[in-house]
Amino acid sequence: MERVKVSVIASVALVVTVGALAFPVWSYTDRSGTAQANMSAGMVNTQWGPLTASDRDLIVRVRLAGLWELPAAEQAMKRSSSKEVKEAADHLIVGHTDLDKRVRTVATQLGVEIPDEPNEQQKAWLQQMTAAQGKEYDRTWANLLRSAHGKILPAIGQVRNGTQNMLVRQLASDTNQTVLDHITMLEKTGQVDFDAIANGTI
Amino acid sequence: MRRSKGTVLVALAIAGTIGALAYPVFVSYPNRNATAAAALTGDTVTTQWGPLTPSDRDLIVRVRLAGLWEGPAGQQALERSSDKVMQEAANHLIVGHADLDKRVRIIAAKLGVELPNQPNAQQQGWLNEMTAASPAEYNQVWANLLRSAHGKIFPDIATVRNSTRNTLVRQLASDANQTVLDHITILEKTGAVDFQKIAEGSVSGTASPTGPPPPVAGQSPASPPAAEPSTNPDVSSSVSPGAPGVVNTTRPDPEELNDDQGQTPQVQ
Repeated sequence: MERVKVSVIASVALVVTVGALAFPVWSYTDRSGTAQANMSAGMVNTQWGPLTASDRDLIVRVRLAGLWELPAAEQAMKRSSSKEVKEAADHLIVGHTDLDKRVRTVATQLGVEIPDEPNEQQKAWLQQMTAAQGKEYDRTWANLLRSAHGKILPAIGQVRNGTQNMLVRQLASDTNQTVLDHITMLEKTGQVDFDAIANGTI
Repeated sequence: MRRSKGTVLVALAIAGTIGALAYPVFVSYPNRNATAAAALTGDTVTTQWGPLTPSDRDLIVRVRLAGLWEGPAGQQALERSSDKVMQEAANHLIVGHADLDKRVRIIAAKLGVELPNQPNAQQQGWLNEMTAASPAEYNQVWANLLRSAHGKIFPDIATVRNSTRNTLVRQLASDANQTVLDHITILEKTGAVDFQKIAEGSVSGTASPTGPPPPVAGQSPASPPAAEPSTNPDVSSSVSPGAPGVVNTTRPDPEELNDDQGQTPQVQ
């Protein structure tokens, strides 16, 4: 009787184990279909073509960029004594004022709700800049901004390639032009730590 | 005696199982970052223009390969299509890739990167596909094969542009970004691009269903206020985007050309 009980427990344990090991294999198989499903999951039709979750994500990110980079640039205009930093700040102000105008038009046309203030991470970056003193200021300023611009550039590229929406397509093109300009100007300050950017440690 | 044997066996099996389940969590996952770091430094060589990584070299080779098949593809369309917009797109491809090819050969020579002199098998296949297309389907086949290839390289160029530590590769990535965006734009103007197919081919799991909510029909969100400078800063630069559908690719000519490295793509 005892032996039978132990055998039953062992068999059940074995079955559960095999099941647990097989489960990820099953969920991985589903993965390739998931991306496809994701695309159509949040997709709505508009008169300018389908609008996906990635499209909306770009719209929101372009808006958020303006919301924190404009104050960041204005701050540098006042606080930095470097000509190159001020010139980069000039480009940020002109570029994001322009992009914000475009993104608000697009968001209104497509009915996408966009935020009115920077997110927590961006607020923290602004605080980090505000707290930086002396020589550290230019360095902190340029690297935080260069890092954020560098992260969004490939994401813009993906949406520019994959979107089926005319308005988002034009927005992605315009954003690419502006972001590449800002990356270039920020690098001209001579403050960018390329190792840290490459290692993703900023 | 038999019972204790069975118990030992079960105990061993359980220990083995727990070990197998714990292994990835404690050993392979934490190592992952190290693996990424190794990929970055693995085959990295030092040059006077900064470190040169495998991703840098990959971009250099891909820019060269692009010229090797897109030059001939552009030339073929000039001969086979009578459509004015197709001719214009072909024109942009020929001019753009001749320029990029000149730049990439100079950079490859400086950095000692070996360049291919022929399109790869896949690109050769695309050229064959275009050549075999009937007059009725020619524009469609031509524009979609080229748009698809440009769209795939575009985010990769951006990734290298962000992370490279090499000044020559950085400039090449900027130039390639502008040329490729121009080509994507002009190819789309042909009206032959199938955006749904492009979208399906590019699905890569980046779509986030938890992202911003879709708009609700008949309900428009409150009109957002402009994000603008709170002060009145004295700014003098100009905006970067061109007129819709126009990408400005004018830039200074590269300084020098080393004829020893690679051959100019044959465009006759």
